[in-house]
Amino acid sequence: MAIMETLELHRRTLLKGLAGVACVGLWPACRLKDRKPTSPGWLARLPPDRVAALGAATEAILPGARAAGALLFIDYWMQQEMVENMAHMLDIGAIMLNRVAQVEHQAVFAECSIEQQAHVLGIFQKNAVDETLAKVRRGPAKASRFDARGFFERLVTLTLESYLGEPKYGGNKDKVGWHFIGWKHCWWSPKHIGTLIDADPRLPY
Amino acid sequence: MARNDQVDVVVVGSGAGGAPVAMSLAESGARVVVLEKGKYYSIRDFTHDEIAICRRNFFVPYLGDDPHTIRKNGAIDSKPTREGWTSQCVGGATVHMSGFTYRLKEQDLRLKTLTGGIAGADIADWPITLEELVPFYDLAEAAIGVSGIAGINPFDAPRRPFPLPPMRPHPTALLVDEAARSLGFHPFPTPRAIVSSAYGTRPPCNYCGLCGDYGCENGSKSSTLASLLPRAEATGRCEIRSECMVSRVLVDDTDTAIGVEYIDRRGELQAVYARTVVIAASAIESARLLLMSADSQHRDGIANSSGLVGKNLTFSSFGKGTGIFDRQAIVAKLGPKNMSLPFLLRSVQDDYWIPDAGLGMPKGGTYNFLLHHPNPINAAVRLATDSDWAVFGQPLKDRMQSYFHEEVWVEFEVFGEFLPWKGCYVDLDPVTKDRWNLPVARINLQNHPVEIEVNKWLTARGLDILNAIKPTAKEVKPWTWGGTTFHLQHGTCRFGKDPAHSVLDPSCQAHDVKNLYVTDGSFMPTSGAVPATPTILANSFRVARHIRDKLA
Repeated sequence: MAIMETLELHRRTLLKGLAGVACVGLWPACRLKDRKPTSPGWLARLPPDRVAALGAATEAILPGARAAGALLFIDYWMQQEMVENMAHMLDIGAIMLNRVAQVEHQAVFAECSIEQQAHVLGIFQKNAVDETLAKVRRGPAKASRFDARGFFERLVTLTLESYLGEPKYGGNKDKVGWHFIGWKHCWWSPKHIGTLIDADPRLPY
Repeated sequence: MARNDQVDVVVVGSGAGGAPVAMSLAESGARVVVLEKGKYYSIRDFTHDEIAICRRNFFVPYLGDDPHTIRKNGAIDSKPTREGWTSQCVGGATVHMSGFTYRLKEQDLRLKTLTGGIAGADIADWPITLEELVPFYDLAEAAIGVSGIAGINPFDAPRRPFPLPPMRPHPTALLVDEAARSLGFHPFPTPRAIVSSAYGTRPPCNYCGLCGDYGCENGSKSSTLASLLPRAEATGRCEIRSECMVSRVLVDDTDTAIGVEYIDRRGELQAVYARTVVIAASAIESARLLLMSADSQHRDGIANSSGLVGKNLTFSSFGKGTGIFDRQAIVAKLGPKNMSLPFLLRSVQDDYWIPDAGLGMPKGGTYNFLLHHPNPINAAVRLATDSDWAVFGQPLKDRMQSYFHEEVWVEFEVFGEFLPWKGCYVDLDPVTKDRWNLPVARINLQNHPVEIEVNKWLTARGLDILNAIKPTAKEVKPWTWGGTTFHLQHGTCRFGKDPAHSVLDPSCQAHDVKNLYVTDGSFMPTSGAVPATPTILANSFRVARHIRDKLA
């Protein structure tokens, strides 16, 4: 799964990179609809086990998110300016997901069961990664600089953005997220809404 | 116009404080240049892309690019923050505002006299009366287009009819009306700076629901971009220069403002010389500009002999509660008609003045009832955060299913008085610089304890209304109280008659610097308990008349 995702990232990056050359240097001044990824994919530079961990984590956070393109979405945004620290956080976070999974379940995160993955993510949500890793560390426990809770919140947010945001950023494949939440809302195409309005005599004002 | 040019008026900022001055003076024959730090978007740029518009840097700059910093509750070190920014574009905060358009009341302008003072707070009466402002409220509402209905709210001063009829509410407004009245409240339709029917060349609202945090792709929201600035430019005497960061106000040896320096979009330093300089960059940024304009003769910044530039920063005291209702129960009671409408449009001001509540001050606030913002990502993230991020996986997806298909969320916001005091001010950060290498504004934030007490009381009263709604909510819960609405900001250059206790005179001209005016929310000595945008607009029209007469 991880290899397939990586290959897909390479392929899409190559295709989009050609089209994106014209936009180099214009971000963020360029019109939003003109933006395209412009450099080799960020995730393609990570070891496959970390990519697999992040992909599995998005799926564990929101079932269906991985198939909807969560990793492509994350890859897109990690190539934009102003997110270098975020990219570093995700990279370290992927490593820590695997470490905690190894401690708790003797497997990398992507190979854990759904229940085991939920347990691992719960450790991040409770910001208890240091305590968990201290179980196997020799010597006294020490606090790491890794912000486990911050990583978890960021990953949840990115996953939800990928599932419910504009498909042009790589997620919400086939608008699956918008299908899920129902089309009766109108944030993508409001023009018809005016025709739905009739005066309601029960409401004088 | 060429750069380094001489005009009659230069205006820094194009939002509620700047645009009325620019339009009024251009229409009266003055040559005007407006310098705006942000981009000049057209309505074609205003998409419904929640990520781009609301969650990245379309309106508000990234931290690494152009931050504010903040120190909360007396902390020593400041941290970069995006708080305190309003939208960075031509039209300013009016472009992404929700457009709740309440007027101030007499109590807002006479808080010190009416209370005799509040311990620890530095409140001051306004040097003008509400009667002086009313004609300019009328003028502003007509100029931009405001929808509402007069005479329903018994706590409003008598006023002329709104220019436009009220917006159409979601049927749940009926339930809020019933609940509020059952408790003795007097709900009324929330006035909105949105055109409910065609207004000039602008089409009526299409009820997409994406007002707050978005630009209006329909031109129906009454931003200055849609209403005032086109009129200003149509005179042929007003030029709007976007992506121009003003770095200094130029003052001559006679303490007269003669122009401004700015950095243009190519990074080159430019200047505009003018007979009158008007600063309207937001309460935080205007104070920053005056402080950044320090020189050997004005070491603490210009217009600052009182030492009050940046002091008495106020926001709006904020509280919020949510009622989660079963959609089927609502439909069973009201029928399916108009259930797609996005606006609830109900407000309550019975608790605006509450001397009998036994609180630390008699000033209360406004309840604004509304449906939860239709942004799907924002909603989903809130479902996660409401559980302290503990709900994820299938439980999160189930929760989303319920939210989007089975529930109606009715909410209220409290707009309360934010007391000016020593705990809240803005100054220049001694360390952090922006992308122009200019010192950024540092927000020093501490809420006055009385305002927190009052806001908590108001939030509890709002929850009472939610609890009285029939059919009964599945859940009613406070979301926050005693908080801060950062994009509503005022007070850093308060006006008054005494130069020792105010920065601006009653016409909003600096006491210390001739021909220098400040027309954003900075002038307000007290915040009022409503969003200040219509007041800033009205005051800007008032000041424009003063400048016009002076230029003539």
